[in-house]
Amino acid sequence: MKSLRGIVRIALGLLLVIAGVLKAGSGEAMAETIANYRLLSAPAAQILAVTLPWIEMVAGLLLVLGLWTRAAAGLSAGMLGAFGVAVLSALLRGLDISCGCFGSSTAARVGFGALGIDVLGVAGAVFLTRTAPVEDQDSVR
Amino acid sequence: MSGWARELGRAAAILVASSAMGLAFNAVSARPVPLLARDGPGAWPERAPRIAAKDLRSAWEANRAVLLLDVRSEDSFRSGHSPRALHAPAPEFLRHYNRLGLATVLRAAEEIVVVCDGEDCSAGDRVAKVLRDLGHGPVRVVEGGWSAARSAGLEEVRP
Repeated sequence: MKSLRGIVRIALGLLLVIAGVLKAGSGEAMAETIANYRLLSAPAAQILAVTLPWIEMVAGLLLVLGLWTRAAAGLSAGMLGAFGVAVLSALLRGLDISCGCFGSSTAARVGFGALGIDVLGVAGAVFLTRTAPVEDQDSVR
Repeated sequence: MSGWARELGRAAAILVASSAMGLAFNAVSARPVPLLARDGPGAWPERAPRIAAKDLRSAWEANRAVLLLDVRSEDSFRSGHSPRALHAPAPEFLRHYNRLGLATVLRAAEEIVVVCDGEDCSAGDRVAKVLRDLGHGPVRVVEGGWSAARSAGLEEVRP
């Protein structure tokens, strides 16, 4: 159980760190990508484009390090869950747009592939939120 | 303090601290995103008139000077494009416009057609608006985006 938890924690952490690093620094393109989902207004898209990559990087780093695991995993579950809803709604509305999952310059489209990875991410994050020891016994310290 | 309350507090702390980092990074970055700008990046542009991909093809076959502007990303463009298209990715359209000296080329065109990714193509609408603001002539956007253009065989129509 402990080693499974460790693998999930580090895999999810790395996924988030990579997703965040690839998005940070290209805020304008990110805002456009977010706008393509047609869910948020421009001001909200701009704020999200600027902050989301950093939330991903920080939460991912904490997971990799095994610090504040429950909180970081809970936050990740919320983020990935919200993203999944956005992807699903784009699919249902038939939008053929770039998913922006790993930065807006990649050609990856919104589709069941993106949704599949997202569902796995949510499952991992929920698993960690529910099972990680309260006092961070998994941590590197 | 109960366990869950503490975890919620920590999650909120992560959220606030990392958002602050993002905002600070944006403030010092070379090209900061304008925040809370209603017409800034991320705005939903007014919908430009559409043209069916097959009508664009017919226009080319009739030797009309209809210029195709591909505003998709570098990767998308590389994975397939029309040999007649000029490439100027949408996120920094004006920079490409100046770099490629598009002003002269576009003025010579009878009509400008923009192709982008996807059904929705808000990037195309945005570029169409920029072009109109710059005083360029009729601008339309390919209905259905690149996938429709490819289905209509625009990849094969040589200049």
